[in-house]
Amino acid sequence: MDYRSKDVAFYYIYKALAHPEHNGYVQPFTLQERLMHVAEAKRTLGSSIEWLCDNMQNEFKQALGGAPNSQFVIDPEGKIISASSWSNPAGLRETLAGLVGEVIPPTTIEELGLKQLPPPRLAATGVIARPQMPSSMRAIVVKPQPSLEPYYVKLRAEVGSGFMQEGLGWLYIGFHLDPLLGVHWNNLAPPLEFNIETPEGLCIASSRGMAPVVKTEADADPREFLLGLEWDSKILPRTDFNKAELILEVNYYACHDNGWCKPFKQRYHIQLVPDRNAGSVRSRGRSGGGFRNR
Amino acid sequence: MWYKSLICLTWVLVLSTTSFAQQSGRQPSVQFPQVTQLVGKQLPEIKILNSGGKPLSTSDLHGQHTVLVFGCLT
Repeated sequence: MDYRSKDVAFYYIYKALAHPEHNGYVQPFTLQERLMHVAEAKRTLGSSIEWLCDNMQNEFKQALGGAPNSQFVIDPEGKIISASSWSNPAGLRETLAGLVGEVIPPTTIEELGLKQLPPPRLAATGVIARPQMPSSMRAIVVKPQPSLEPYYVKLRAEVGSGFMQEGLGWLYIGFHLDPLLGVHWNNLAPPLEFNIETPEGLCIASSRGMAPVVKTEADADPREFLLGLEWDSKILPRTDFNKAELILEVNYYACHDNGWCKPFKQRYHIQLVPDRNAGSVRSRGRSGGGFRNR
Repeated sequence: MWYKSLICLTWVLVLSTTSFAQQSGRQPSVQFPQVTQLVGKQLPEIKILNSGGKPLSTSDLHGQHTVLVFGCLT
């Protein structure tokens, strides 16, 4: 901050989530939702530093190396003169001192006066036990189809490395409430249901599934399923994975914190292609069942 | 506390004496050589947005020394 007086500009660049599910946050599907994330970051962090927002193709992040928390110094002509894989305040101060001179005394954390605020309050959590996840799961591409309503519940899909190597493994599908859209599950209504159509060459253990009935009136736990998946490479070559889409339709009931309750029917196309911008989930994986198929 | 996990945003302390990550011993060990190899190259021209949703180009950042730090909510 103190280097602003030396005509240095500072920006955060908002990018896709590194660790979805932390504090309940999930990857946004639209630019508008990513801008909501930016507003949330400003609110929770309390910093006066300006935020810029990467586009939904994540072009800026990828062009600058694809790291989650990298740091750059750019000269007035637009040349990159310093680049770090991770944010490094001490190193940055040193770089700036070399470029425009030292600032004495440096600003302290206390002087920044950050008013950090907590993430949004969620409905009850820990109501549904989460599935025991196989190791080495990897996020794959999920394409929400056009919908008149926002995706209050967002799908995350992952496959196990065993599937990619041996053609047999697990498909994880998790339906997560978006905490920035202010909704919770309506457990007085029927539970979430989904069905999946698979392309030729892919066989799924269960093409339909239903979330457990929950006695609590409302909650914010994800509805998660692990499905066996088998691939016949003679019918569906790996090179065609980007063309072969699983089509998933989900029905659920949600209530908004403002009072309305509605049913939703939304569709996704899922590709068996790794999504390098989906981030990795760190907080998942408590033991227990928590899913059932029909 | 919840905000300790905002590792993406550690550089809020950018001009304090030490980083949040360093204080908490969480400076990640994974390095991204594709990042450091960018030194000396021109900032690519890409369409981005400001926090209000107004489109702008990365070339709009030229004209002064500029610090960019990538971050997110998690």
